[in-house]
Amino acid sequence: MRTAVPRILAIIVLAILFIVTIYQVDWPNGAMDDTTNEDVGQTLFGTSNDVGYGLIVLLIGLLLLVALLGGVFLAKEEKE
Amino acid sequence: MLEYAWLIPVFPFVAFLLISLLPKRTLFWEDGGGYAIGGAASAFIVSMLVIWDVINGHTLTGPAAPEATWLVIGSFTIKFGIWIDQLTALMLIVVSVVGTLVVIYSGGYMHEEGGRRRRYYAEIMLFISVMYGLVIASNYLEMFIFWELVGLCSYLLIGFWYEKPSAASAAKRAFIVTRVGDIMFMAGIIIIFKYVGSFDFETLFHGGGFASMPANMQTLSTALIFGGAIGKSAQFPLHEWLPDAMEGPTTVSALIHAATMVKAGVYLTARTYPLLVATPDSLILVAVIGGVTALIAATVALVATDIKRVLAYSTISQLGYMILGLGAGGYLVIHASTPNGYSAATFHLMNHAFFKALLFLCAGSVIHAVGTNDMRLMGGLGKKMRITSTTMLIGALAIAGVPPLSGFWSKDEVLAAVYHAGDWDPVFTLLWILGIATAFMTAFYMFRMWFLTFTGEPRSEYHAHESPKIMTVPLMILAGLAIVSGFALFIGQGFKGFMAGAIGDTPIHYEAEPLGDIAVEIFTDPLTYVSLVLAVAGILIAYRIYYMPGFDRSVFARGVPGAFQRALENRWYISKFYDDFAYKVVYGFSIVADLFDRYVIDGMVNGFAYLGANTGNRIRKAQSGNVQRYASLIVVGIVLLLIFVIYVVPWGRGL
Amino acid sequence: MIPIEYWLVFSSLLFAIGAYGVMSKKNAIVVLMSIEIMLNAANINFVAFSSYHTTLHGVAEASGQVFALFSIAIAAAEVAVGLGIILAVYRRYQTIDVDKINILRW
Repeated sequence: MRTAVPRILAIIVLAILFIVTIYQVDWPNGAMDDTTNEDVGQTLFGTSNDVGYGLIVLLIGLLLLVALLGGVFLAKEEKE
Repeated sequence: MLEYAWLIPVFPFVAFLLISLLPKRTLFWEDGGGYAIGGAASAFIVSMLVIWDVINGHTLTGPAAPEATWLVIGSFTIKFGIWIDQLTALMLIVVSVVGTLVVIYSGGYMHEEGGRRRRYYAEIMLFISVMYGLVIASNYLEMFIFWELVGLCSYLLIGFWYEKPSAASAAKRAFIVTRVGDIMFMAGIIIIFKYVGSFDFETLFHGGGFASMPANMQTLSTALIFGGAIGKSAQFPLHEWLPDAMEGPTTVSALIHAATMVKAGVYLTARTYPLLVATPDSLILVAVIGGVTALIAATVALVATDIKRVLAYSTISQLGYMILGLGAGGYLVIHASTPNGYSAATFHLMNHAFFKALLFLCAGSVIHAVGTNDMRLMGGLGKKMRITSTTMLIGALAIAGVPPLSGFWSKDEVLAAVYHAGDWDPVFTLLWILGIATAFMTAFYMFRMWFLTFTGEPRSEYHAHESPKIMTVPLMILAGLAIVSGFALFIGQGFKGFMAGAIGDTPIHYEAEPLGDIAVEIFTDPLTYVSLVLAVAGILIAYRIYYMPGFDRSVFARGVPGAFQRALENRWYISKFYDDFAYKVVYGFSIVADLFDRYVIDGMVNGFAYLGANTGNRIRKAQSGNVQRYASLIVVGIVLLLIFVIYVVPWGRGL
Repeated sequence: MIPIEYWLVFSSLLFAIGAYGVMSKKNAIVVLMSIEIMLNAANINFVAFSSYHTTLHGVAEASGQVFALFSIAIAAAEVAVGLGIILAVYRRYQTIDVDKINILRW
């Protein structure tokens, strides 16, 4: 389709833009750290003094529940 | 007492408010007639007190007069004040006497009108109050306001029977024609204001501000102010509204179009005298217009068949006399320093008010009895309506100028003034000849009217009866006034001395003549006898033609006299000329204006709307409903934005 | 080790591919999947940044990865709702071709 060409062009330009921009940034040097799953768990459930994301996890669970229920409701068949 | 003169317009105005605003059942007698008589009578009493003060020599002019500030515009304040001098007193006599008598008379005349009487009395009261206001005004702006209000009341009252199309169009015509005059008046006072900075009579007459204007502006402004008088006093060329104004009730014609409103123009000219005597060219204009009007109106009255039309034309003619007198009197003031013309014209104003109101009210009585205005259907009324016929005879004699009634004294004074003004400008001699011819014709047509109406055999079926007392008593009072008001020339200092005080600070040498000398002077002057002989000749010719049988009146219908008669019947085709002019020129212009308005101006507005709608129509096609197209547009937009932010902005910053 | 740019470039390419999919695919479910791809690209970004600079406050913490977890959960919710909508639309219009569902137009 003819309308596909500008789109592809736009996407390519977008990608190129991103790449060029990324390479222009002066990233601070650093190596990949090892973060274990334990670290993730610690951050999530907060044994340190900084952050505790436990409450948010629960809320997100609630949100998932609501969304799922909504999805089920939307997909229900109308009873005649 | 003079400081309370501002109460004079208040009483009728309060009566107006009461009549128009109170609930119907409290209006008692004659649907408001009682309040009307009360208002008019109280104003009459206060004016009599004021006049008594003025006769004793007090005037209230200038800085001593009370005034109220109405508007303050920047550094200029518009004030409402009162100005009482001898001229005001004269007008007060006229308005109060005639006004009160007409209101009393209306009690009988308008008796069958039913619920409409309320509107009638309210409008009459409003008219009387604004007329009083006009007369005691102390600056041109206030006078102009009341002037316009008087015109409004005239419109309302002429169109009183508004369901008659002729009445409605006559009212419109009156208002529009006087409007032309009003515009000239307004232009005149605006020119004065531009140069002098004030409207007050005090500043203009005694302050010398007027003399500081350039000469041609002075002439222009006084001529324009006189233009207002032309409109309101029905002078040529704006005279056609007055005969048509006879469509209103006869009492309205008596009050407004014989005795008060049309006198407002003469009053204005007399009031502007200190300015007019500084501009002799305007005086010539004034005199010429007055004389020409007098003649034209008298000629048309010769063939009028409607009794009110005859009286209307005679009013126009007599107003022409007054204006002519004022014009000539100005020359006398300038060159001979005597107030003869001025006092003669104002004296004629007072006398004419009385006998013209008398004539109109008698005509009203006749119309009330017979039911028609057409004189060709009347005749032989004298036997059945004794009082009306006698009083009308007195009125006709007065206007014809037969001594010792009032008309004789004042007409003679006016004609003498015009003749003497001819010493300085031959135009006045010519105008004197016109005046004499008019006097002859006046006597003739007045007696034609009287003979046709009251003598001979009835020419149609009517059931006539004498009018009720409430109508005949004012007639008798006015007849008495018509007889005796001429003798005001002889009381006190004489009328001339009385009026001399009103002309401001133009030097006037006036020695008070002993009163006997005045009479001797009048009767030894050959001019007096000229006009007297012509008046009597007019009466006799009318007698021959209309009273004595055997005169074949059809001789007037053929040949040259026939063409002349037709011209007169068509009022010298002036009316037709105005109608044609209005139809072709004004209507044509208004068609052009209408087309311009519709196609150009409305076209532009419509064009803008069309533009908006069209653009919207095209742009809405951009909403295709296709979500992916929207998403792609977003992405393209983001790309462009990123390019802009990352590359163009730093490039611009580096410039 | 691998410079961080590789991760970021990878994530941008993924994002571009996802964007192309959203713009150009006819099937509504494929569009949903492309949206998922874009979300995952963003997640990769989070994890990348979190992996390279964890010792922010002197304590090893993995906020970025936690955030990525949350983002996965939200994406799941969103897909659930989205699929429900597509089902309702299918029931009404008997098609899931996005080109044919253009009722909200002029």
